[in-house]
Amino acid sequence: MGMSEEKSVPRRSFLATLGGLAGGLAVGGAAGWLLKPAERELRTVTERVAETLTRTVTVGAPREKVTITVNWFPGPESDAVAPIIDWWNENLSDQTGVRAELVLFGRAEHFEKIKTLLLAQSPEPDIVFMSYTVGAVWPHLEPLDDWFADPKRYPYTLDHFVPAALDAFRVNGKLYGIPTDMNTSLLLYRKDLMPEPPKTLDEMVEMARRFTRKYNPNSPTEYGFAIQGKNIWFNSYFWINLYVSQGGVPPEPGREIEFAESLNSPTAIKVLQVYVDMYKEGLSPPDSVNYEYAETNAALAAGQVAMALQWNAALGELRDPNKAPLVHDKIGAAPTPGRYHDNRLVRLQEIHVHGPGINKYSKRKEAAFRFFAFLTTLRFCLDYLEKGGFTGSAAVLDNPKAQKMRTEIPELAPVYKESFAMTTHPDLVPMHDILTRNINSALVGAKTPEQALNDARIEILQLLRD
Amino acid sequence: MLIMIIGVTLFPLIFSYYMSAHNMTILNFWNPVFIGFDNYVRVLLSTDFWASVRFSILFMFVAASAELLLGLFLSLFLERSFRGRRVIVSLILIPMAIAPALFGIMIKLMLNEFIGLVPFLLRQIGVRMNFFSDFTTIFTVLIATDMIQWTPFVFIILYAALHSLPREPIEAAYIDGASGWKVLRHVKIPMLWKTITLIAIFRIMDSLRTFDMIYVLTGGGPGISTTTVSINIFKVALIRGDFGLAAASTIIFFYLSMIVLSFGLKELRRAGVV
Repeated sequence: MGMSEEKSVPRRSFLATLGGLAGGLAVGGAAGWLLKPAERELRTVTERVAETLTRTVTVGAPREKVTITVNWFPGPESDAVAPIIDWWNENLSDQTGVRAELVLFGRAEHFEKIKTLLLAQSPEPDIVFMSYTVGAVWPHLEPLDDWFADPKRYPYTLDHFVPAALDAFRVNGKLYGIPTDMNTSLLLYRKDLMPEPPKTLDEMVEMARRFTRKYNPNSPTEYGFAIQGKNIWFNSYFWINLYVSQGGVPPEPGREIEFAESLNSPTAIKVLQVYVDMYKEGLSPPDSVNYEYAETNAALAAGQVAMALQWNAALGELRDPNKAPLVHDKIGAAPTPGRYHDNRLVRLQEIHVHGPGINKYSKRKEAAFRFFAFLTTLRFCLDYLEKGGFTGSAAVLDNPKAQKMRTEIPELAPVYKESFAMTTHPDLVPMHDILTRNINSALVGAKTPEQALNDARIEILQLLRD
Repeated sequence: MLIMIIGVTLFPLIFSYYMSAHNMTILNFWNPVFIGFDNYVRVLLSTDFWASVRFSILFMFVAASAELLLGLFLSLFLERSFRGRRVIVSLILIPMAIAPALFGIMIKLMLNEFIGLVPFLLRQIGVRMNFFSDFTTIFTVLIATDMIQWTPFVFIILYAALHSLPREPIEAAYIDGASGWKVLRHVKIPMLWKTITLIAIFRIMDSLRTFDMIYVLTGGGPGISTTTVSINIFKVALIRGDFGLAAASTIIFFYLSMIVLSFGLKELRRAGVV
């Protein structure tokens, strides 16, 4: 039977398959040969890490290998870490006795999946990639302070990280993760229209009016500003940054109740009133009550909006000539507008982080920490940044090589230096959800700013006291 | 097999009741505190929950009615044989095959003021329109989206049912001089009634628990004006992290749905189906 089947394969098909395979190999080989120099260049940083690590982490002969599972955020983050893990396995697994295996889930449901696995007390993955929602899962994570305090286990330092970024992974004073990725929001503006970005809230409103066609028929943009007003929990971050920059209480770790109580303050009401007025006066698109990341980017990319508060991740997309051909060379980034206090410009905004922690139920914690320690090295941070990730390391952000590699870093560095860590309270997400819902209600006129903020205040206080 | 049935139905059901009687969050999942009926009282006193019930019922009523009417109209229109009918039937069915969340994203892109095809075409004829600026337009978009996606379901079942109707009574009515409308009203619809009731039950139950399409399009906003019960439960469980309260909401909503379903079942019983 088998023989007759073999005989039935047409000669032409067989030759075509053979030809296809040979052609594929030739193309693959040529591509490999062409890409080789670039790869060699990329490896220079990691080669130096190898030298450092083999000197410090490993002593003596190769040990028995343990394979640990490393979970990372799928997307640009995992694309950046994958070659570094490959490099580790090729160059350091023998000396350290640890082999790392990358485990990915879907990007959309990543954090939910991690929550579920931790709740189920699953011993894998040994290293889990978390977010600012660490406050909701910390009982299932390994506290890292004792591990980092042991010089035999940890010969490096965490001093090069942005302090607020490390704080964003602390719960009740204990550290549960390393900020390999750091995010915040920025004021994105059309630098071809305004040579200087607005520095204060009043300047921002004035500029928004100047670039709204309804008020200035000569305006090249239809709207001066795009408010991200959709009722989706993280949209409150933009309002909070404006509020805190006007002197409001920042929702940092330990100040959650103080923040909630301040929500009916004159400053908070004034900032929300500004938001509502901008929307009502038509400085922001009518649909912006339903805007989040993608819609805001689309509005900026279409060249119809002059400014928006947007996540720093948007810069890559908006400066890509293929993705934003109309504005790729016209988008500037600046910190959230603040206020003058004692003749000094005051601006303050949150940063939140993503990064790995160690699963409390891991059965290979010692081996996992050996790899984890490597993730805190300056070399890893630089390599990760080079391959498309980001970093929470201030030293790397200040590094001229890093600034050359990623042109947005010089714009981001001042933002991170004027930052506070968003709270890691277990109720972080519900707090934002309540606030966003009420801001959204004020925008559509269902509540006055006073009512909306007072309702948010009562609900958040109730939540925190429960 | 029995273990599998118990695992996928009975266990989650019992566990939901267990969760609803406890203060259970992600932090105390393994050591929840027993609180009796507290969660049920909180749900019954929650204005957010009742607002979501109100919106779910409104959405269900408008969407299911519109889909039934349009589906019936389309099936009657395509009952007659004509050139290109098969192509039209195939085209009508396409939206049903798309995942609701993906369909929501497609609609969102198509209606985007700056990059959407629909606003672009409207601008060509001098009409400027925003689709997500107030409740009325948003509600219209949600109903239209649900109709585009789920009318095909109503249509295909009614279309098949119409084709399987016995021809004799219909032809007899025409021979007796009945008009097309009278044949529809007094012959076809009575013969289709069981199918229509069954479809209505399916569509009512489905639209009552709509989640993905609305969540993608509006996130439940503006404010909480388009929050369905499913979105409310999702937010309570996965954003607020209060599994006990979410379980109590689910159970209360299950019994509310049962009231709606009981009317449908009564009608099916009357028609001799169950």
